Amino acid sequence: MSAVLEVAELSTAILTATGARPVVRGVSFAVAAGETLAIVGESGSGKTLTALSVMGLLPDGARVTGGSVRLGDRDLLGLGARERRAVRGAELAMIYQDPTTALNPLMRVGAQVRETLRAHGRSAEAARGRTLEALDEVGLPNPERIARAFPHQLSGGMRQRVVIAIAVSTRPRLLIADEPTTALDVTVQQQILALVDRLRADHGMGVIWITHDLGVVARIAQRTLVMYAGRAVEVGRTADLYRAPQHPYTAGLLGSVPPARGTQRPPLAQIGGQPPDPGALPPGCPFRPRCPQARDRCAATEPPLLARPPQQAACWVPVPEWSRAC
Amino acid sequence: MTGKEIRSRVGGTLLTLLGVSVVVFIVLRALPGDAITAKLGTESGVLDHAQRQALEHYYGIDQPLLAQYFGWLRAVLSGNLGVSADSGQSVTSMLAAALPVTVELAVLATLLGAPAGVFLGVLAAARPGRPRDIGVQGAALLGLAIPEFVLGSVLVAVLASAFGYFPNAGAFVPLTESVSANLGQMIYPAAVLAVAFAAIVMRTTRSAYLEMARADFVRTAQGKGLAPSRVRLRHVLHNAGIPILTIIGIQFGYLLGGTVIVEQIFALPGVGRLLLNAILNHDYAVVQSTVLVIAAIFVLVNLVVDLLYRVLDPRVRIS
Repeated sequence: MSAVLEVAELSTAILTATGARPVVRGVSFAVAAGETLAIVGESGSGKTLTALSVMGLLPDGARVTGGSVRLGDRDLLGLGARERRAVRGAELAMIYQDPTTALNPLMRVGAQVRETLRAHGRSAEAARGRTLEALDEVGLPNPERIARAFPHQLSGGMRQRVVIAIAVSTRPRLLIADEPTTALDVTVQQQILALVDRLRADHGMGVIWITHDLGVVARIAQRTLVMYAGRAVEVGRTADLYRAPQHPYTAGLLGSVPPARGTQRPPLAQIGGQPPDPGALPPGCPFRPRCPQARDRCAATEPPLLARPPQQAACWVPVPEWSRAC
Repeated sequence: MTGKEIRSRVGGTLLTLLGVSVVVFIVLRALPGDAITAKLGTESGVLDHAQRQALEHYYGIDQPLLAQYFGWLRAVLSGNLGVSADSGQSVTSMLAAALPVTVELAVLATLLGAPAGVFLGVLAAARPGRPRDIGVQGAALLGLAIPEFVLGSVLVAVLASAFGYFPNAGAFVPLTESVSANLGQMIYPAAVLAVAFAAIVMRTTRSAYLEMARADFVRTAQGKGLAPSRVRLRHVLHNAGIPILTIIGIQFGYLLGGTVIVEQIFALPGVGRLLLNAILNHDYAVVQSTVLVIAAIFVLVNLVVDLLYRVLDPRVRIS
């Protein structure tokens, strides 16, 4: 499988009066065509800023400080503003957490889909036709009527479908989904999940699904990347991560999900404490203050992402070694 | 608007106007002096009792206050705004002459000030905290701080000394007589009024724009790969439109109430001057009815702004 997106050693910082606070620290991953990669972590772990760095939509004051973001054979970080815009919305698209605020309240839904297509070179007529197609594709009934509606006339689930229609109208190669189900009812969450998964399968689109909900990850992601304090702390196939988490943080996250019948319960029940402030990371492993098995070595040096077959984890004392130690 | 909304709007408007009429009536009578002293000046002191009573009866101020008030109200409701005690003209005809001048001045000042304010506000907000923003904000503060009488007088002085032009030398030319001569007289006072107008609109535009620029849907728009100019106008500015429209409406309403100082400096026979002269002359009928008409216009402008919200924001449209 060829990689649609390859991110290498991506670093992003928020520039403050007192200096740069690193919020994404050397994160690398790839997404293949037709693959879903889940990025999991608590709020503040840097997962959303990683996504916004890839999109080139960082808020004022945040800046990519290193690494590369390759889409096909181009490094997006080397592109000018205009070239970057041509990619954004056309080859790279994003859907957002809260569909009630993600749509312009004063514009008809159809116009909001259309302007994306118009910005990427479709004629007015082609854009109109494609808009109705896209609204239909995301399962909205009666696209002509929906296109004339304003966002406030639609339910939350329908609005999220509209946001998805905007994103996929241009048939992007990669879709970044930033917790798009968090703000929705449980039943609607399942529908949105299934919809994105169907669109991925139908069009061979790569998907990055950002979430803190491991229940979601297990259902749709082939591979999972766990982030903590701006770093990737564990990467691997989702099934492997679930069966044998290597990083105590991953194990902790899994422990906070009710286990499915028949799977072995991970050794940690919960994670105490708070994630560290990115401006004041402790020396050594940033997870050390919350880790039940921290050793002297963990305080001395921050572990890099190490091969812990079949996955990779940034931990000196991975979880399976604990049982042997005890 | 539904029928119920319209009824409550109209009801509220009428109550407001009734309140205005009471306040104006009382304030006017609380002022020292009356129509007789205004007319005769110090000579009113030599009037004997019978003469004074006769004059009071003539001006209608010998009646109890309540009777005066309801008499006036009844007349106004029947379309009679009263007669000037000073000139003997009907207030209706005086307003008919003065209102077009003030309306034209207000419209010109708005046409100059509102677009300039919106433009400068967007200019400042697009680069918050940068030199451009600080420069625009400083200029706006200056525009608000300089009183109209200073700005107006300086403008008149500069026009006179540098160009030998005296905007208030000749008689006032109405728009219906000569458009060019009229605009030549009106453009300077309008420009003076537009300075503060633009400054106020600029500040509202800037803050509304900055607030909207942080909205999630703006990020969605950027995520679509739209050109920055389209994101700014179609998404940010459009959504900032309601507070901007509100402040423009309020300012326009104020201007319609007459601009006493500027009309005085530029010798324009507008509502402001009419009102000022009437107050100086204790011309009760003129002051009362003019203020009531101004209040009615102000309320009407607000109603129009409310209706414009519906055009601007589909969420207000449905109910």
